[in-house]
Amino acid sequence: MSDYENAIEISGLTKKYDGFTLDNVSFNVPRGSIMGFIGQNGAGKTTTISALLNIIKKDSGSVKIFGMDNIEHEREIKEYIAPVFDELPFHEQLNARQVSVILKSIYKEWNDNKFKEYLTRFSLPEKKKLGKFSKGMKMKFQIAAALSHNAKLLVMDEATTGLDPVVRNEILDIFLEYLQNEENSILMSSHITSDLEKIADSVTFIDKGRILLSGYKDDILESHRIIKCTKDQYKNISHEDFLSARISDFGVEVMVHDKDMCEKKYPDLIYNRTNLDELMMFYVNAAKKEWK
Amino acid sequence: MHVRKTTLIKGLIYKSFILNLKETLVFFMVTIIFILVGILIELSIKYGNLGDRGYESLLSNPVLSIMVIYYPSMFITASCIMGSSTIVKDKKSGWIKFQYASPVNEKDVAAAEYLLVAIGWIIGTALSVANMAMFYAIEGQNLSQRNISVILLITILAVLFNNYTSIMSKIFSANIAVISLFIVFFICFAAFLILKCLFGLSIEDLIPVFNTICDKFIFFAVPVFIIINVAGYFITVALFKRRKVV
Repeated sequence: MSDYENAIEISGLTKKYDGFTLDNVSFNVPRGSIMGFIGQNGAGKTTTISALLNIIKKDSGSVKIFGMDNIEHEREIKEYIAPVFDELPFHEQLNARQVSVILKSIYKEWNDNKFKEYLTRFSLPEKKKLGKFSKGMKMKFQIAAALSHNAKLLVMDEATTGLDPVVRNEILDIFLEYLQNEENSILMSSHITSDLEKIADSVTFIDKGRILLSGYKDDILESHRIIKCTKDQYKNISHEDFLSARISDFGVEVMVHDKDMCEKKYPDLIYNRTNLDELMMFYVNAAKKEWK
Repeated sequence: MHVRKTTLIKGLIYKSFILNLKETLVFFMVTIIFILVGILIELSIKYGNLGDRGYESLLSNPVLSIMVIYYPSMFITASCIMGSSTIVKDKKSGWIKFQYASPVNEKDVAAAEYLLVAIGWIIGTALSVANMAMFYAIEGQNLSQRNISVILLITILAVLFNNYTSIMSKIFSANIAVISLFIVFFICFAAFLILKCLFGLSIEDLIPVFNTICDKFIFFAVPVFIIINVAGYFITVALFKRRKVV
């Protein structure tokens, strides 16, 4: 299991539901990196993660984790995957000690001492029922459990959603610490792009079940620019050269995906750096080309 | 590998036990109260001042025989609740999603569930037999083969209902599981009424059939238990494998 380049390789993943199709999704998560999986609510993030973890059956496509097929080598792979969901998946009647006994029976490499260390670090009581934990405590508890069985891949589905900024930052620090080990990787789905802006090495955008963009975050942010111009200036920009344009009473914001080419072609315009939030908005509206 | 499997099954049984601890304690408390009340009734019949109502008339009171089978009947009710209880809690908490995402084998999950059913059946049957034996002992009588056979029949019915509600709760909600059980009872009752109308069948006609079953059931209890549970095991494995339990 040590010889693989990508922690996750998804190719042509398709899953059809009534009114929604996850359509031919493909992307890779390089080993030792953290990928932000970005999209609006209902874009297909959870469906992709569910198919990746075989929580739902995919219709077609292939998923490789640690270089192995996720169905053929399911048990072997799942020993080293730590899923973290938006809601605590443990029964609220249980306490940390009881969960530890259960997880010890599930994971071969469950480390009780490590788990206790995390509980102490997060100030989580061992005997208090999980139902009495706050949302932040529940998330920290999930993360403590996820990091206590020598997992090589953290798969997080909207895990930081609904948490206050202090707890979110604390959790993000733990992820960076986890990534100190070069074997470890993270796939983190979220619609809070500021978190991913801080820690992600690469990002994948999904919308309406389709991948819009996938690549290294720095490359993407470097190649994309926002041009703030007047309507007259906008008329001179060729439609093939930009992704989409937000038109308001005060002017036009244009997202270009090839900064170098545009700078040569339109040297008089002012090119501003962009962020993941803006990228998501302009990509989601790319089909319309012009939007308000 | 074998040790690992055993550890996993033990862990899953531990989870179900902890989750149902409250219900189990309530069940045992009711059992103790029931036994105490039963002892008091029996002792009052034997040694109490019965006034103008004779001892013989009280012994022939059907309430007593109902009391004797009341305990295993209570076991049926508890089993129906227990059957759906764990799966409902697993669904509600999001555990099922976690289970699918973790290295837990569907066969181990089903094995843990049905092992727990077997443990429950053995304990429930033993308690029921002990309870009935105690009642008979107070009256200075011994248990007959038929008595044990009746208890086994009732506890096997409990296991059947437990499996039914458990499987229905996996596919649908617990409410549907319970409602459908009532529908099944209603259909059986309706079928009996139709048979009664068509062939003039009455409850008295069924008594000999019931007596024959009661006489012989002691020999079939274990095979019937195994058949019910093996079927339940395979259905559960298939439901989990096909991700029908969500």
